[in-house]
Amino acid sequence: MRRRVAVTGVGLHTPAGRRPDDLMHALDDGRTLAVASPELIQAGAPVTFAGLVPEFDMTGYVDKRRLRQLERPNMLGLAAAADALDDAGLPMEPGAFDPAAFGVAVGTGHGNHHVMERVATQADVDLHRLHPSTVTRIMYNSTAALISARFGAAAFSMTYVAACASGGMAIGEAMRRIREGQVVAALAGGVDSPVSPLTVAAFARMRVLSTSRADPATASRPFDTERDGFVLSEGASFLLLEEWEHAKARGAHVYGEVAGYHTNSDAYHAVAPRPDGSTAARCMLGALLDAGIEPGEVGHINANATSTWSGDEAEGRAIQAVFGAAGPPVTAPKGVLGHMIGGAAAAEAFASLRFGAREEVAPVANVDQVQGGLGINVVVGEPQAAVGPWAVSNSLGFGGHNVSLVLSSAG
Amino acid sequence: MTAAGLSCWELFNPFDAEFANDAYGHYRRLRETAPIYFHRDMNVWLVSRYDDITSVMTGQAFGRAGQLESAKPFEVGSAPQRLTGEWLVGVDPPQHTRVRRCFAKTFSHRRVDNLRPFIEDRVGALLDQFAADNGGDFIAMVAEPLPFQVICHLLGIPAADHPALLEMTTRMLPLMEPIMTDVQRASVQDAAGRAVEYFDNLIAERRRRPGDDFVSHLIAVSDDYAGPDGGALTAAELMNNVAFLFGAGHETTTSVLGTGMYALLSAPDELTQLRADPGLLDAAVREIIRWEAPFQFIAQQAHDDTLLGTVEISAGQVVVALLGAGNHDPARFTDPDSFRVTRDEGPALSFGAGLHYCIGAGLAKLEAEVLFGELLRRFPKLLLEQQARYRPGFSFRALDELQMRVVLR
Repeated sequence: MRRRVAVTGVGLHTPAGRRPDDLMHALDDGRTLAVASPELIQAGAPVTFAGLVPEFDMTGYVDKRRLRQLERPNMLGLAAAADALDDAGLPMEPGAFDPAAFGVAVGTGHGNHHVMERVATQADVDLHRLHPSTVTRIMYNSTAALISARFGAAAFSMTYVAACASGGMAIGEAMRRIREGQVVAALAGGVDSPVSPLTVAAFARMRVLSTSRADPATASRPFDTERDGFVLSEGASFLLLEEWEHAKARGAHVYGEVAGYHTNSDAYHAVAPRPDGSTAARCMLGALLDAGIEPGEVGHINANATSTWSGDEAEGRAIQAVFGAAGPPVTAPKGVLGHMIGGAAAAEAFASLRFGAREEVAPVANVDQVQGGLGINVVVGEPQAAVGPWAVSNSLGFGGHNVSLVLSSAG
Repeated sequence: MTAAGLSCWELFNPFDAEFANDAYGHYRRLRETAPIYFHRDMNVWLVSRYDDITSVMTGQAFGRAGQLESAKPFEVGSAPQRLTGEWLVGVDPPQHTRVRRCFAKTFSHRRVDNLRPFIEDRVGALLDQFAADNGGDFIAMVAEPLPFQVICHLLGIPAADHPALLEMTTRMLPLMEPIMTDVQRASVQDAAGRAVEYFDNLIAERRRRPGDDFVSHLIAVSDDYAGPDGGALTAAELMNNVAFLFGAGHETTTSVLGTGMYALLSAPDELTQLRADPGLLDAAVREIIRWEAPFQFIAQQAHDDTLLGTVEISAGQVVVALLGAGNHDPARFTDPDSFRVTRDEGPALSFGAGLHYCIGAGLAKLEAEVLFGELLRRFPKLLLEQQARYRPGFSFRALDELQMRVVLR
């Protein structure tokens, strides 16, 4: 029989805060967690609001001296990974698992490239006097390396860079390695902290960021006819994935299961999604096949929908193609959280498990009128009932990277 | 006759009256002669190298259940049994996971961080008194009251109960030693009976009138998790571990503060260096924690036949990991018998390792950091008055008395 993969812990450092309940309350509350950023205002960035993680004391997670060697994404990632262990009833220390049977997979779209931004925008860069830690501070795999070393995850330490699909890919690939018996457990999720003047300006130049809202709390509105782009956010989220029997034997609390995973590529354009959503549809079907369930069994869909015009439209078509007009309720947490890029997927997967467990899906934030002609069941205004424990969660990235996870909240 | 022609007691006798005065000498002899050693009379394996200790504490073949009872049985239903039977340190998964998760939720970083102002306030008050007397016995005046007041504050224990509780815990200390006298045994029985009653009442009171204290929050977390997965704590698990947290939360920290002060006073150059660079405080606290592990050993029972290095350990045998020996293992720490505030060589074993890693580590470090930071800030001179006295015994590494003098600027 195939090994099952349980979710036994979650760690969140998102604009909604760090407690799992904070995330659920924010999703139920339905307001975009975007705030004015003094750094963006001061720099005169074209967009000046973003989703930011509330300040927290990092010294509980890492020695003060080590702290000075960490960049913001490293801190958020380490803290979220630690919290996932803590949530699973395990020490935030090496030895929670046999190191040879414990891995870490991190998704990140932007890594630490703000370090290069900081170096490059200094008034007088002296090429003979760069800080010796410049490379280790920039490298995209630094968060995975730090988590691996900090918690003794020696079986693998991988970093997936696939834009907005990065975190989902990390979860899916880690799940496969548990299923195949390579490891008993893995920390899987992702992190990004891209809110810097240069990155915001670059996204704004692509005209994918929301600009027109007087009130940032209504800026992100996936599937709405008035949507005008996404809200850039920072955040980290990790799941502790664990082989099912191992989790049961140690008495772990099980939130649910990662039961299916599929990834494919639009093979279409550097940024734009394939407009008919056909590859994203095949991705969802592949994940359902992997989990061994039919589209009709799915209780709700957690859409990637970031509030961009073409992205939401293509995903809507993909969902329509797989589930039809009478499909399950569709929600989209990025209406509240903004887009944490690599940090999004684990938080959204966790929210899906909770929606399934409580049999009720939060509405999409700020939707007055769903775009006409999509033919899908977007949850608007009031929560909707989710029938059954199964959910599909999508992560679709710039560059055509598609990831679908199938989750079950059944114990 | 065994290793190197020595009898087992000649090789290692932690019950020797002089043991505490030269513990690291005893450990060194054992580590150099027989690092994994079966002590026939104690009927346990003794492990004294850092890497072997880590293997024992994190190994899948080892667990905790059973090893406490085997050492010195109190009959089922007796007060010590009712008080300690469900302690986190003594149970294995799946029970351990469930209980630890509830405690971890309640004992979060945030809750520990929130204690900082209280700790700063208490440190201020205790050092005011210490300064007014130009010093004195650091243990009685500072190292003992600070952690005690902090843990009472955390648990919401009213000041009126403090003296009785302090006496109760002191009398229960022999419970943690491998052997005890008949007199100690009777005293432990009596104190444990009163502790059971006290903590049962405390929990019942918080159930009736919840407050913003640790116990009330723990009850809420436990109730929250009641569900199909059976997340809630039993009444015994709740009471036992509140009592455990209370005891572990101040005894060990008192030891660390005392031995840490002694180490700094005994190494004036290190003290000077720390004074010159307060940024070293963090590292200094870690070195203090390595220097003297407040609890000296952890016993694990093999539940399967297993190999430790090349040594076969049989199922059912007890392995005693000598934390103090591992912390002074030259294979792991450079020049381990010198105290260096700049040391940066990774974690010591004092908080344990693996699933049972100390849940209060953050609180202990915070108390030490605030106290030593303030001591250095206030007093330009800190002077040792006389050699300190170690508490006799094997389990605890603590000072009974530390006479010192402070000079205000």
